[in-house]
Amino acid sequence: MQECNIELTRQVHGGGFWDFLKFDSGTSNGAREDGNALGAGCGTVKSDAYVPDMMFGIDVSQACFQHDQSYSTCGFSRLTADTNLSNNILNDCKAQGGNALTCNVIAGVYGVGVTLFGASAFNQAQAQSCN
Amino acid sequence: MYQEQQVNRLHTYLKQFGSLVLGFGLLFSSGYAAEYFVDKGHVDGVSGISFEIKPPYLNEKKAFNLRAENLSPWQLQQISDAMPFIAAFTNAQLGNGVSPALLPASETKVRSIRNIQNLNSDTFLAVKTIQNWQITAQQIQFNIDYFYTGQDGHFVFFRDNYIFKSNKQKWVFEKHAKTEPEGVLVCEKSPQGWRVCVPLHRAKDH
Repeated sequence: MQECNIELTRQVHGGGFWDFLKFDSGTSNGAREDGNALGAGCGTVKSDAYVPDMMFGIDVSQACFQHDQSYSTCGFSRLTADTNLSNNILNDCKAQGGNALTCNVIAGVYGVGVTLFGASAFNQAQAQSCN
Repeated sequence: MYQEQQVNRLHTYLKQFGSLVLGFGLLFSSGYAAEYFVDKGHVDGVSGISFEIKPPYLNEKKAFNLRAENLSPWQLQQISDAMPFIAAFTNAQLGNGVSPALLPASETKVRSIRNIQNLNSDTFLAVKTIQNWQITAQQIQFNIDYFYTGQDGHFVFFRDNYIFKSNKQKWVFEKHAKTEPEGVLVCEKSPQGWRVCVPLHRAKDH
Protein backbone atom coordinates (compact mmCIF):
# COMPACT_ATOMS: atom_id res chain seq x y z
CA MET A 1 0.00 0.00 0.00
CA GLN A 2 1.31 3.46 -0.88
CA GLU A 3 1.76 5.81 2.03
CA CYS A 4 0.79 9.45 1.57
CA ASN A 5 1.94 12.19 3.86
CA ILE A 6 -0.36 15.09 4.70
CA GLU A 7 1.28 17.52 2.26
CA LEU A 8 0.88 15.07 -0.62
CA THR A 9 -2.76 14.57 0.35
CA ARG A 10 -3.27 18.35 0.30
CA GLN A 11 -1.74 18.58 -3.17
CA VAL A 12 -4.13 15.97 -4.52
CA HIS A 13 -7.29 17.19 -2.84
CA GLY A 14 -6.42 20.87 -2.77
CA GLY A 15 -6.61 21.32 0.96
CA GLY A 16 -6.93 19.80 4.40
CA PHE A 17 -9.82 19.28 6.77
CA TRP A 18 -9.77 22.85 8.06
CA ASP A 19 -10.19 24.24 4.54
CA PHE A 20 -13.88 23.86 5.26
CA LEU A 21 -13.43 27.00 7.36
CA LYS A 22 -11.42 28.86 4.74
CA PHE A 23 -12.72 32.30 3.84
CA ASP A 24 -10.57 34.55 1.69
CA SER A 25 -11.21 37.76 -0.24
CA GLY A 26 -8.28 37.01 -2.56
CA THR A 27 -6.70 40.37 -1.68
CA SER A 28 -3.74 41.44 0.40
CA ASN A 29 -2.17 44.85 0.94
CA GLY A 30 -4.89 46.50 -1.12
CA ALA A 31 -4.34 44.43 -4.26
CA ARG A 32 -5.71 41.20 -5.68
CA GLU A 33 -3.41 38.22 -5.23
CA ASP A 34 -4.22 36.87 -8.71
CA GLY A 35 -2.72 40.03 -10.29
CA ASN A 36 -5.98 41.39 -11.73
CA ALA A 37 -7.37 44.78 -10.72
CA LEU A 38 -9.53 45.20 -7.62
CA GLY A 39 -13.14 44.18 -8.29
CA ALA A 40 -12.24 41.38 -10.72
CA GLY A 41 -13.99 38.80 -8.57
CA CYS A 42 -16.54 39.14 -5.79
CA GLY A 43 -17.16 42.73 -4.75
CA THR A 44 -16.16 46.06 -6.23
CA VAL A 45 -13.01 48.12 -5.92
CA LYS A 46 -14.28 49.33 -2.55
CA SER A 47 -15.61 46.05 -1.20
CA ASP A 48 -13.20 43.52 -2.74
CA ALA A 49 -11.29 43.15 0.51
CA TYR A 50 -14.48 42.34 2.47
CA VAL A 51 -16.43 40.09 0.12
CA PRO A 52 -15.05 36.54 0.07
CA ASP A 53 -13.88 35.07 -3.24
CA MET A 54 -13.44 31.83 -1.33
CA MET A 55 -16.09 30.56 1.04
CA PHE A 56 -15.80 27.25 2.94
CA GLY A 57 -12.72 26.55 0.79
CA ILE A 58 -14.69 26.94 -2.46
CA ASP A 59 -13.39 29.41 -5.08
CA VAL A 60 -16.39 31.43 -6.30
CA SER A 61 -14.41 34.24 -7.95
CA GLN A 62 -15.23 33.21 -11.55
CA ALA A 63 -18.97 33.00 -10.90
CA CYS A 64 -18.80 36.51 -9.39
CA PHE A 65 -16.75 37.93 -12.26
CA GLN A 66 -19.15 36.46 -14.82
CA HIS A 67 -22.04 37.99 -12.86
CA ASP A 68 -20.33 41.41 -12.95
CA GLN A 69 -19.85 41.10 -16.69
CA SER A 70 -23.51 40.12 -17.16
CA TYR A 71 -24.58 43.25 -15.31
CA SER A 72 -22.30 45.28 -17.60
CA THR A 73 -23.82 43.90 -20.79
CA CYS A 74 -26.35 46.33 -22.21
CA GLY A 75 -29.84 44.85 -22.12
CA PHE A 76 -28.93 41.77 -20.06
CA SER A 77 -31.71 40.73 -17.68
CA ARG A 78 -30.87 41.21 -14.02
CA LEU A 79 -33.00 38.21 -13.04
CA THR A 80 -31.10 36.01 -15.50
CA ALA A 81 -27.75 37.32 -14.24
CA ASP A 82 -28.69 36.64 -10.60
CA THR A 83 -30.11 33.20 -11.38
CA ASN A 84 -26.97 32.32 -13.38
CA LEU A 85 -24.82 33.38 -10.41
CA SER A 86 -26.56 30.96 -8.05
CA ASN A 87 -26.53 28.12 -10.59
CA ASN A 88 -22.89 28.70 -11.49
CA ILE A 89 -21.83 28.73 -7.84
CA LEU A 90 -23.80 25.56 -7.20
CA ASN A 91 -22.27 23.68 -10.14
CA ASP A 92 -18.76 25.07 -9.69
CA CYS A 93 -18.86 24.24 -5.99
CA LYS A 94 -19.76 20.62 -6.71
CA ALA A 95 -16.98 20.47 -9.33
CA GLN A 96 -14.56 21.59 -6.61
CA GLY A 97 -15.65 18.79 -4.31
CA GLY A 98 -18.11 20.72 -2.15
CA ASN A 99 -20.96 18.75 -0.58
CA ALA A 100 -24.61 19.55 -1.31
CA LEU A 101 -25.22 21.43 1.95
CA THR A 102 -22.11 23.60 1.60
CA CYS A 103 -22.80 24.38 -2.04
CA ASN A 104 -26.43 25.31 -1.41
CA VAL A 105 -25.45 27.56 1.50
CA ILE A 106 -22.82 29.40 -0.59
CA ALA A 107 -25.15 29.76 -3.60
CA GLY A 108 -27.90 30.96 -1.26
CA VAL A 109 -25.71 33.55 0.47
CA TYR A 110 -24.52 35.11 -2.79
CA GLY A 111 -27.96 34.79 -4.39
CA VAL A 112 -29.61 36.65 -1.51
CA GLY A 113 -26.73 39.15 -1.47
CA VAL A 114 -27.17 40.22 -5.09
CA THR A 115 -30.97 40.22 -4.75
CA LEU A 116 -30.78 42.61 -1.78
CA PHE A 117 -27.85 44.78 -2.79
CA GLY A 118 -27.52 44.37 -6.56
CA ALA A 119 -30.09 46.87 -7.83
CA SER A 120 -27.93 49.99 -7.75
CA ALA A 121 -24.92 48.11 -9.15
CA PHE A 122 -27.06 46.76 -11.99
CA ASN A 123 -28.53 50.17 -12.82
CA GLN A 124 -25.10 51.79 -12.79
CA ALA A 125 -23.54 49.06 -14.96
CA GLN A 126 -26.41 49.22 -17.46
CA ALA A 127 -26.16 53.00 -17.68
CA GLN A 128 -22.41 52.73 -18.34
CA SER A 129 -22.70 49.99 -20.96
CA CYS A 130 -25.73 51.31 -22.87
CA ASN A 131 -24.33 54.81 -23.39
CA MET B 1 3.85 19.39 15.72
CA TYR B 2 1.11 18.50 13.25
CA GLN B 3 -1.63 19.22 15.82
CA GLU B 4 -0.02 22.56 16.59
CA GLN B 5 -0.06 23.45 12.86
CA GLN B 6 -3.73 22.49 12.64
CA VAL B 7 -4.62 24.59 15.67
CA ASN B 8 -2.74 27.57 14.20
CA ARG B 9 -4.57 27.06 10.95
CA LEU B 10 -7.91 26.97 12.74
CA HIS B 11 -7.06 30.19 14.58
CA THR B 12 -6.11 31.88 11.30
CA TYR B 13 -9.34 30.83 9.61
CA LEU B 14 -11.47 31.85 12.58
CA LYS B 15 -9.78 35.27 12.56
CA GLN B 16 -10.45 35.64 8.82
CA PHE B 17 -14.06 34.57 9.32
CA GLY B 18 -14.47 36.99 12.23
CA SER B 19 -13.03 39.85 10.18
CA LEU B 20 -15.40 39.12 7.34
CA VAL B 21 -18.46 38.93 9.62
CA LEU B 22 -17.40 42.19 11.25
CA GLY B 23 -16.76 43.74 7.84
CA PHE B 24 -20.18 42.73 6.56
CA GLY B 25 -21.84 43.97 9.73
CA LEU B 26 -20.19 47.38 9.51
CA LEU B 27 -20.86 47.56 5.81
CA PHE B 28 -24.56 46.84 5.96
CA SER B 29 -25.24 48.78 9.15
CA SER B 30 -23.44 51.86 7.92
CA GLY B 31 -26.03 52.65 5.29
CA TYR B 32 -23.33 52.81 2.67
CA ALA B 33 -23.96 49.32 1.29
CA ALA B 34 -25.09 50.60 -2.09
CA GLU B 35 -21.99 52.76 -2.39
CA TYR B 36 -19.78 49.73 -1.70
CA PHE B 37 -21.44 47.57 -4.34
CA VAL B 38 -21.50 50.11 -7.15
CA ASP B 39 -18.35 50.26 -9.24
CA LYS B 40 -17.70 53.56 -10.96
CA GLY B 41 -14.09 52.70 -11.70
CA HIS B 42 -10.80 53.85 -10.25
CA VAL B 43 -7.24 54.73 -11.15
CA ASP B 44 -4.84 51.91 -10.31
CA GLY B 45 -1.15 52.55 -9.78
CA VAL B 46 1.35 49.78 -10.56
CA SER B 47 5.06 50.55 -10.11
CA GLY B 48 4.29 54.24 -10.50
CA ILE B 49 2.30 53.81 -13.73
CA SER B 50 -1.37 54.82 -13.74
CA PHE B 51 -4.10 52.64 -15.21
CA GLU B 52 -7.57 54.06 -15.82
CA ILE B 53 -9.79 51.17 -14.71
CA LYS B 54 -12.92 53.03 -15.74
CA PRO B 55 -15.85 52.60 -18.15
CA PRO B 56 -16.20 51.88 -20.96
CA TYR B 57 -15.23 48.22 -20.76
CA LEU B 58 -14.64 48.38 -17.02
CA ASN B 59 -14.60 44.60 -16.45
CA GLU B 60 -12.31 43.94 -19.39
CA LYS B 61 -9.86 46.45 -17.88
CA LYS B 62 -10.13 44.76 -14.48
CA ALA B 63 -9.05 41.50 -16.15
CA PHE B 64 -5.65 42.95 -17.09
CA ASN B 65 -3.14 40.96 -15.07
CA LEU B 66 -0.51 43.56 -14.26
CA ARG B 67 0.90 42.41 -10.94
CA ALA B 68 1.57 38.69 -11.25
CA GLU B 69 4.19 39.25 -13.95
CA ASN B 70 7.38 41.14 -13.26
CA LEU B 71 6.80 44.01 -15.69
CA SER B 72 9.07 47.04 -15.88
CA PRO B 73 7.63 50.59 -15.66
CA TRP B 74 8.29 51.03 -19.38
CA GLN B 75 6.37 47.83 -20.21
CA LEU B 76 3.54 48.88 -17.90
CA GLN B 77 3.37 52.27 -19.63
CA GLN B 78 3.02 50.52 -22.99
CA ILE B 79 0.16 48.43 -21.61
CA SER B 80 -1.44 51.52 -20.04
CA ASP B 81 -1.43 53.25 -23.44
CA ALA B 82 -2.86 50.18 -25.15
CA MET B 83 -5.42 49.33 -22.45
CA PRO B 84 -8.46 51.14 -23.95
CA PHE B 85 -7.89 49.47 -27.33
CA ILE B 86 -7.28 45.98 -25.94
CA ALA B 87 -10.32 46.30 -23.63
CA ALA B 88 -12.58 47.35 -26.54
CA PHE B 89 -11.21 44.51 -28.67
CA THR B 90 -11.81 41.98 -25.86
CA ASN B 91 -15.38 43.21 -25.44
CA ALA B 92 -15.99 42.74 -29.18
CA GLN B 93 -14.48 39.24 -29.00
CA LEU B 94 -16.90 38.29 -26.22
CA GLY B 95 -19.73 39.14 -28.57
CA ASN B 96 -22.36 39.41 -25.84
CA GLY B 97 -24.96 41.52 -27.59
CA VAL B 98 -22.45 42.90 -30.10
CA SER B 99 -23.06 42.11 -33.74
CA PRO B 100 -19.91 40.77 -35.45
CA ALA B 101 -20.74 43.17 -38.29
CA LEU B 102 -19.87 46.02 -35.93
CA LEU B 103 -16.30 44.82 -35.58
CA PRO B 104 -13.72 47.01 -37.35
CA ALA B 105 -12.52 45.65 -40.69
CA SER B 106 -9.06 45.02 -39.24
CA GLU B 107 -10.56 42.60 -36.73
CA THR B 108 -12.28 40.32 -39.21
CA LYS B 109 -9.12 38.18 -39.39
CA VAL B 110 -9.47 37.49 -35.69
CA ARG B 111 -10.39 33.96 -34.66
CA SER B 112 -13.86 33.80 -33.19
CA ILE B 113 -14.03 31.90 -29.90
CA ARG B 114 -17.76 31.45 -30.45
CA ASN B 115 -17.15 29.76 -33.80
CA ILE B 116 -14.29 27.61 -32.54
CA GLN B 117 -16.29 26.39 -29.55
CA ASN B 118 -19.65 26.31 -31.35
CA LEU B 119 -21.26 28.69 -28.88
CA ASN B 120 -24.69 30.01 -29.70
CA SER B 121 -25.67 33.61 -29.11
CA ASP B 122 -27.36 32.70 -25.79
CA THR B 123 -24.11 31.51 -24.24
CA PHE B 124 -22.57 34.26 -22.15
CA LEU B 125 -18.85 34.50 -22.85
CA ALA B 126 -16.74 36.21 -20.19
CA VAL B 127 -13.11 37.16 -19.77
CA LYS B 128 -11.12 35.65 -16.89
CA THR B 129 -7.76 37.33 -17.35
CA ILE B 130 -5.49 39.01 -19.89
CA GLN B 131 -1.90 38.02 -19.25
CA ASN B 132 1.46 36.59 -20.41
CA TRP B 133 2.63 39.97 -21.67
CA GLN B 134 5.54 40.18 -24.11
CA ILE B 135 6.30 43.77 -25.03
CA THR B 136 8.57 45.55 -27.47
CA ALA B 137 8.51 49.17 -28.66
CA GLN B 138 6.27 48.31 -31.61
CA GLN B 139 4.12 45.45 -30.41
CA ILE B 140 2.37 43.86 -27.46
CA GLN B 141 1.74 40.12 -27.32
CA PHE B 142 -0.61 38.59 -24.77
CA ASN B 143 -3.12 35.84 -24.03
CA ILE B 144 -6.79 36.22 -23.22
CA ASP B 145 -8.40 33.55 -21.05
CA TYR B 146 -12.14 33.34 -21.72
CA PHE B 147 -14.74 31.27 -19.92
CA TYR B 148 -18.36 30.28 -20.26
CA THR B 149 -20.85 27.89 -18.68
CA GLY B 150 -20.78 24.63 -20.62
CA GLN B 151 -23.79 22.44 -21.36
CA ASP B 152 -23.13 20.33 -18.27
CA GLY B 153 -23.27 23.48 -16.12
CA HIS B 154 -19.51 23.60 -15.48
CA PHE B 155 -17.20 26.42 -16.46
CA VAL B 156 -15.12 25.94 -19.62
CA PHE B 157 -11.92 27.99 -19.90
CA PHE B 158 -10.32 28.80 -23.26
CA ARG B 159 -7.10 30.65 -24.15
CA ASP B 160 -6.11 32.44 -27.35
CA ASN B 161 -3.07 34.55 -28.26
CA TYR B 162 -2.86 38.01 -29.83
CA ILE B 163 -0.40 40.60 -31.11
CA PHE B 164 -1.24 44.31 -31.18
CA LYS B 165 0.85 46.88 -33.04
CA SER B 166 1.17 50.60 -32.52
CA ASN B 167 -0.24 52.63 -35.41
CA LYS B 168 -0.74 56.41 -35.35
CA GLN B 169 -1.23 56.76 -31.58
CA LYS B 170 -3.52 53.73 -31.59
CA TRP B 171 -2.99 50.10 -30.80
CA VAL B 172 -4.61 47.70 -33.26
CA PHE B 173 -4.87 43.94 -33.63
CA GLU B 174 -2.16 42.78 -36.02
CA LYS B 175 -2.34 38.99 -35.96
CA HIS B 176 -2.47 35.99 -33.72
CA ALA B 177 0.84 35.13 -32.09
CA LYS B 178 0.42 31.45 -32.98
CA THR B 179 -1.37 29.67 -35.79
CA GLU B 180 -3.61 27.92 -33.27
CA PRO B 181 -5.14 29.02 -29.98
CA GLU B 182 -3.90 27.34 -26.79
CA GLY B 183 -7.47 26.11 -26.55
CA VAL B 184 -9.36 24.60 -23.65
CA LEU B 185 -7.69 24.89 -20.28
CA VAL B 186 -7.57 22.30 -17.52
CA CYS B 187 -8.07 23.80 -14.09
CA GLU B 188 -7.14 22.41 -10.69
CA LYS B 189 -7.29 23.74 -7.18
CA SER B 190 -3.98 24.97 -5.81
CA PRO B 191 -2.96 24.05 -2.24
CA GLN B 192 -4.35 27.48 -1.27
CA GLY B 193 -7.71 26.55 -2.81
CA TRP B 194 -7.62 28.83 -5.87
CA ARG B 195 -8.28 27.68 -9.41
CA VAL B 196 -5.12 27.35 -11.53
CA CYS B 197 -5.54 26.69 -15.26
CA VAL B 198 -3.10 25.39 -17.89
CA PRO B 199 -3.68 24.43 -21.54
CA LEU B 200 -4.99 20.89 -22.02
CA HIS B 201 -2.03 19.76 -24.14
CA ARG B 202 0.44 20.96 -21.50
CA ALA B 203 -1.54 19.20 -18.78
CA LYS B 204 -1.36 15.95 -20.82
CA ASP B 205 2.43 16.34 -21.14
CA HIS B 206 2.68 16.28 -17.35
